[in-house]
Amino acid sequence: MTDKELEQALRGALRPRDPGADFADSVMARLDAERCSSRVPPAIQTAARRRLYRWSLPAALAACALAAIGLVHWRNETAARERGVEARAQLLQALSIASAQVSDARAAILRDEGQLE
Amino acid sequence: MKVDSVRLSTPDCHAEVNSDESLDRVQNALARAQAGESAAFRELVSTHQSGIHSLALRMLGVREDAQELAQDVFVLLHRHLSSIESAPHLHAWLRKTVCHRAIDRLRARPRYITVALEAAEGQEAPGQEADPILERQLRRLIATLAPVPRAVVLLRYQEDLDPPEISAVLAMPLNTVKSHLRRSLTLIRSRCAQAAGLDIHD
Repeated sequence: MTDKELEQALRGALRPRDPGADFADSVMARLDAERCSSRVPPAIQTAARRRLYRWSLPAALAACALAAIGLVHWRNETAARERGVEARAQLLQALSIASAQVSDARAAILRDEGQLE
Repeated sequence: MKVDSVRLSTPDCHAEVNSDESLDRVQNALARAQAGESAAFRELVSTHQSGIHSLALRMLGVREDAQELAQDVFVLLHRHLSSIESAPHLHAWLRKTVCHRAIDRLRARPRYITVALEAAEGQEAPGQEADPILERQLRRLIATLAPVPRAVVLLRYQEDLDPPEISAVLAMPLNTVKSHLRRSLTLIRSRCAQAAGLDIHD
């Protein structure tokens, strides 16, 4: 028997055999049983899980970026408010000094006018 | 892995079909099954059941185990249906999965169980075997091989895969595949000669 003849005999011996018409029925019955137990078909579960995995990283990154932007904005707002309060206090102090000086000047003028009369 | 042709079998025949029409039919059924059509998935099972069941049966040697393994593989296919890209990919995926799972099961057995494969395979339809005694003997000899060489021989002579394709399916180096094939053929040849007392030479 040559190599070719042996290989030919092997091919002949290993012809596929059909498992019978009820094989596909058994597979479909098992799938139905699984579907009933899980409600959601496994293929859909897998697809949903894949979608979730696909979007989870971008969503997490976007949430981090939004949180960072929000934090920076809040700090800027707080600093601006503090600067405003401080400027208002300085302005009030400046007005009060100016008012005192104007009063002193007015009193001095009135005193000088009195001496001249 | 590139697959140019696919061996498809229907419940009525086990002929190799390479036509574009058959590939289109499987491709179409695959698309419909991915869309959730149960009849299309059943069509996929019917198309591939002969090859996958035969692989399982000749790997495990026990009809009930083979039936269970082949069903497991198709149930698993249903779960992974969304990741299947094409008809050749589907066929390659089925072969790969059934081979790896069969090897795992055989390794989990306490010893390689040599079984009367003829009883498991059932009766061949009359007129299909060129030499029924030789073919029966060959199947018995293949059943005595270790799991990996057995898978290599089955993929080579049942599924008609080339060594590079077998190497891809079993995820092993090409030289290992060639070595398994060479050693298995030598072993089968010598045991055949011993059993039958035939003049077998290279």
